[in-house]
Amino acid sequence: MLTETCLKNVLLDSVREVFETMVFMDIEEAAEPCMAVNGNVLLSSITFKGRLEGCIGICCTEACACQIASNMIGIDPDNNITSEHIYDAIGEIINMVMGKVEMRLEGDYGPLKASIPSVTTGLELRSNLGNRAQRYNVLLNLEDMHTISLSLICRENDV
Amino acid sequence: MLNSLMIVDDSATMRKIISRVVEMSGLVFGRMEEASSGTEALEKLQAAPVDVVLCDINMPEMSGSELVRRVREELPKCNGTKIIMVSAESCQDRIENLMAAGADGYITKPFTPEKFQQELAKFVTV
Repeated sequence: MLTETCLKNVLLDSVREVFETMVFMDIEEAAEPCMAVNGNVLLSSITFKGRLEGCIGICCTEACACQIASNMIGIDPDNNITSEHIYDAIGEIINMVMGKVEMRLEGDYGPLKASIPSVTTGLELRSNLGNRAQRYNVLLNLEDMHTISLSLICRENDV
Repeated sequence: MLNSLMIVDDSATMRKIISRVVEMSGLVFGRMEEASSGTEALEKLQAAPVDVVLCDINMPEMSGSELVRRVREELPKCNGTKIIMVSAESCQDRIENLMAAGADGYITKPFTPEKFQQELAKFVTV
């Protein structure tokens, strides 16, 4: 199993790359969360299978998801942004993060098969992977405007 | 004559994002089409071929790889159409399989306007 530090770095590097390239915003691990992640929150998640299996999720407020969608599409967040834009955009974010995580882990675990992303309302990523699964949570600040909770639950497989 | 482009993705939001990044790349297309499924793409390509198709892989009903296969097998009038897959998947084996099935290029998400410029410039008149 890769160390917790190594997996955390893989996650953080992947998230940074996606946000800097597609959302045009800096995202960094939060020493202090700039906002609470509560109220109307969305959870975007994706599962994966292979020699490593599990799920990755990002949880953020609707306001944060709206800002992300607005930046990705290039339209004003106060007008013209629909729920469909918001759900699609944060679904696509976790899909791209998964792609980058897979790329970084391919040397250690071979190819991973990812699911279609899903976006729901809710706060906590949960799984039925059992006691062998490891869980990593990290809070990230999106340019000191929003806080995002990033989670990974995974376990190694003998497959 | 300006080139023509079709974006195939089941997500309307993703089609908007790709369209925006293509515009940011500085390339100009005389005709830009969209299709929300492989079936719609086949119908539109049958009616009016385009120079370049930008195609998602994971779509319900018909996957991007199935669309590539069907365009190559069923639409001889699209022999000159270049198909570039756009996906978050980065597994080298899968990319090679898509190229072997008839795709002409691959752009990995997340992408930049420069990446689109680089990839599309191989196939269109700049």
